[in-house]
Amino acid sequence: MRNCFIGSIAVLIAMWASSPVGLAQAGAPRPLTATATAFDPHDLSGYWDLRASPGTLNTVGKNRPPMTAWGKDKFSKVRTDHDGKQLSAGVSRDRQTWNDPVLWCDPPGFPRIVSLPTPPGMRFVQTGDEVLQFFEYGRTWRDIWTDGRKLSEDAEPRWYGYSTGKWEGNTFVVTSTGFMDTSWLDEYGSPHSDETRIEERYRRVDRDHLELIMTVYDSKAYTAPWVGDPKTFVLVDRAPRSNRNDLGEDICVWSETGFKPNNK
Amino acid sequence: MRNRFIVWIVVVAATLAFSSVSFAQHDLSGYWVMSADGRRPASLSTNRPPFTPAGQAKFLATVTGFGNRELGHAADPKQENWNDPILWCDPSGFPRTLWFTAGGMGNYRFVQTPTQLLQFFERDHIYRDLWSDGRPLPNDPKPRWFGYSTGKWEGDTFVVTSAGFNGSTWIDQFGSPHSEQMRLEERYRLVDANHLEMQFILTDPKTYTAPWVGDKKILNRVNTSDRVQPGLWGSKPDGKPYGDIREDLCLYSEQESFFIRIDAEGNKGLLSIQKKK
Repeated sequence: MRNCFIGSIAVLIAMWASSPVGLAQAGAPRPLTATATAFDPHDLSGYWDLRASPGTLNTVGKNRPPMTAWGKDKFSKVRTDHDGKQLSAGVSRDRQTWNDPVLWCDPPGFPRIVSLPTPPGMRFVQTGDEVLQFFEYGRTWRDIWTDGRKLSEDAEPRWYGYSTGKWEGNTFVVTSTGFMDTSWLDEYGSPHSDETRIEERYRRVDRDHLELIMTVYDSKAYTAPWVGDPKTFVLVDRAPRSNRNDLGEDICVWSETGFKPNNK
Repeated sequence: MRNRFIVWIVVVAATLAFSSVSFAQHDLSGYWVMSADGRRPASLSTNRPPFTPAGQAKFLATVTGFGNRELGHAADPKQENWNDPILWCDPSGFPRTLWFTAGGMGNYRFVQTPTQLLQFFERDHIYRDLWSDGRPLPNDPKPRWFGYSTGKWEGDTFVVTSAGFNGSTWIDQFGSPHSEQMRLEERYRLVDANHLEMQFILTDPKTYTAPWVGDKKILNRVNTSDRVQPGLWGSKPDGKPYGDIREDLCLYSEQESFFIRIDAEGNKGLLSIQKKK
């Protein structure tokens, strides 16, 4: 009788420990399997960790469209040690030749910041007139305005562009323009121009999973739109690299790296 | 009798003009810019307390082109000797980002949510989390450029405590130093709908012999930063412009060429850090 009681207690503890609540209290991420817990599909708030996705993590997608002559010319100048196989051109082991602008702390810009391998993930905060998207890298953020304003055709280019968003059913659709053409789309050097327009479609699949499909429209650099692989973000109780419930501070400081700019 | 009546009319009118717009006392959201008085000096105040020996040594090691009777020491005209870390795009840190101007008054944006006050700054395109959800400051945090902050309301004043700063930034352009022991008390109070009073009290026993009590500075509410393109987002239905602040990222890759261009002595704009690398 006593052994049955102890066994029952053990089973209950095991069930609690493996439950979403139990894992959450231990600070662990939720499982990748779908959960049946009720949720508001129009609520994107929280910390979202980018996990193994059906497509690629570190770039828009594997199926990059052919480049225009302009795009090919820009891409031909890339020198990096990151080898993305069919996505790469200038793979070089010689550090002196590398010209990835993040090496000397130029901003990664958007969309590269979404899929930076370290650290991945982001935080969403929703207010009455915008969705704020926060990143650990650079301690930077994006304003995705939902207050009805229109994107300007004549905006001074920014590293993170300009963004507006609206709901289409349960999908949050973001349109962004006004990008600086100095950044790379990914660590392999995929180019883009200042005519880039990016559409992001965020859909909360269930309480714990957020799907993003990104499409890059840039007829100056590519012969067709680049439809990205779906990326899956998992809701976590706190940012992955923080012991606290906040995003860390990961600022690239040139004086700490000393990598001489090599973008001539 | 008539004069008293006129005086009374004037007082009532002035009172109504200054505070006739109702506002939510506990909502600091909006776009703000330091008033002209608040920018003098471009620091907490001129009443900086005396240095400790460690503070004095750190201060005397700074070299800048800015002279200031109360806060600076000898300005050096030679650009190549300056060692202000923002020259090579080290983060400005806090509180320095507040009085960073760079060709215009630095604008900020505050967004208040149920769990925090968010502060957004143009310089470095950086944000701060001022958590008001009851969490304590961390006990032994990894130092940050912009520290860690918690806040709570004391009546109509939002009182923020910040700590966990690295000791690498300057408090101001004059080289006022601080250490990793710096703690800031920040006090924010809406005077009326369009004016936000801000005061800092800095304690750093490693650097200063007493707390540095800053001036009460006034921030003016604006519809949008004057450092973004006019008409960038157009106007709202009420005719006011949609608000935004400027993306003002410091890029070392651009600083080199900038300092070559502005070097008055034509010494190829070398920065002192380049001599060390």
